[in-house]
Amino acid sequence: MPVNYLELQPQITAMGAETNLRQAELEARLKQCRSLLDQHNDDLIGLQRMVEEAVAQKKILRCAAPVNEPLKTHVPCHLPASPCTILAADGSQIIPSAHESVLFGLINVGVFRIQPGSGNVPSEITNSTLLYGDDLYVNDQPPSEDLIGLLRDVRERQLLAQLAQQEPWPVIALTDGQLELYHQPRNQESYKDKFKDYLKALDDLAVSEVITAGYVSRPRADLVVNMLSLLAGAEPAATEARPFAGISDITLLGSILQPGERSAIFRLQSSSSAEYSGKKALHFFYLNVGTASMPAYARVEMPLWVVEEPESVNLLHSVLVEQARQAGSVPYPYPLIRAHEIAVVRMDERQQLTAMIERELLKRGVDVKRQSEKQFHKGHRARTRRSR
Amino acid sequence: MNPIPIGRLLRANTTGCALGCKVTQGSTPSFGDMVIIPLTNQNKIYGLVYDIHIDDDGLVNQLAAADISREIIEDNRRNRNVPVEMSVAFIGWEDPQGRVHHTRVPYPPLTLDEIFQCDDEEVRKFTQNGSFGYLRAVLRNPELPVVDLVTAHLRQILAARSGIDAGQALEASLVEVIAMLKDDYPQMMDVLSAVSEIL
Repeated sequence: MPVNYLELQPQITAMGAETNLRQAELEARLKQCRSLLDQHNDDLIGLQRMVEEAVAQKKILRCAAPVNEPLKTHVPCHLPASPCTILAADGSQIIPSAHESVLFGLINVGVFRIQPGSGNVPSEITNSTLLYGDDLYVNDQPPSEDLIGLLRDVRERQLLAQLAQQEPWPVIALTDGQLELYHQPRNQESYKDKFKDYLKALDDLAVSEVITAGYVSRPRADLVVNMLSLLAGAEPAATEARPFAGISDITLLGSILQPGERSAIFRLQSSSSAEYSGKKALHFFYLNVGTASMPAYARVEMPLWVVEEPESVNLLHSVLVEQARQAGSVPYPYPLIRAHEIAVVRMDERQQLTAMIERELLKRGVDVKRQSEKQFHKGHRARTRRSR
Repeated sequence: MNPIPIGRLLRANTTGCALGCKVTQGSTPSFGDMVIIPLTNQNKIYGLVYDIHIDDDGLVNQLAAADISREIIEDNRRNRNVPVEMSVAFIGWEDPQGRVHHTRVPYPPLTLDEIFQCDDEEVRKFTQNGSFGYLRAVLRNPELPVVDLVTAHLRQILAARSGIDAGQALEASLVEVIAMLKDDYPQMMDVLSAVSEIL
């Protein structure tokens, strides 16, 4: 038996009971949090000052800071969106594995280009980079998954910057997930070098005035809630004592956002804020791309150079709602769906690439090992059961 | 030969193949049309399109119920996967000297070989000696929609010829059909009845 369902049943029952209890606690916290939101709706200066003071105490504070819109702002979008070019990028990777016959890695970035309303056929761009030789060793160690992930993010951003230069304004450059990178270890030189490349690509996008954004679907962030926690007297960086633990920004703000509406724009305060300096300073808003009966929320991250242009924010807002609706009953921006589809490296493609590399090495008289014994046996098809 | 390929080969054996092609209605062949596949060894394979199907996937299913833009329709038709898959039954081949053989092909085409739609001249060349023995590849294959396929094929032959020539070709082809289906009266009547529709 693959899973012991008999053993799990009482645990599932306990889980259900605990969820009930937790729900009641969360309701009480949410009520208090909403009350603070109402009280401080227009107190933007006071809140900005409070966040600055908290950051002075704890630089790693992660929360939102208001910009110039009341906290409970909800802005409808204007459809159809104005003409523009959308470039959506996504990436995938092959992590070098010692269990394979040859050691290599791959960064594969897919870009989907569409000009809504133009009638032009959208296009696909794929950029594949093989990692071999020195790429496979960082401080004499194979690169971590995080470093490969960073390389992928850098390549996505560089490709967007490069392609955007060839397009007439306005251009919207979209990626899945946040703009702020989270890869570790940040103190290694290899990371720092690549991170500089990432920031350079952002600078290039800023120079071209590209409307750059990261789309986080079903966000669980509690940035606005963390800001309100400071009002409730919470220690900025504490995790256990947070008065509103378990409440997400969407729990707090979701009911305010009608279909198609965005929230106020907030500045993102985090430990990496100093690195995203000047025009690159990260901001975000929440967005409801769903319907009245089926809301669907996203957090949209963008740099300061976008926020400074209300026209750009309005266009980004409209485009995201419009493109998410193109995906039907499960709203998600169509260009991002397609970018992911273009970028993903399927197992058969991986096998094909491995075979190509093996052929090249054999041609040059290099001894090619077989897969490790472990990898060989993991490759068997899953067992099947005879059904009655 | 038509200079623009209609698609590329996905899989094949010596009786037929499947090809993937992009959707540009008007330039893609129809059911029953004759196609030709030039091989690297200078042979050419002739076949008839007997099935055309359009695959779906999760995203297409999702989009079908949505109010989508023209660009997204075009993206799905032109960029995503292989929008249209066609099945082809081989009916003969041509050797490097230009001789047409109405027999099973000696070797199947290879993956990603290009497929072209036959023009009238090629249709005439394949059927020029008045022999329609190749129809057995269609009539004796239980996997094929025999009645409709033969009818559609004869329609193309008639269109590629004219006047007396067309009449003679039709007569010769029907003689072959009757000879091959003499022991299968219902099938023969179905074919003759369908053919009468195109006259």
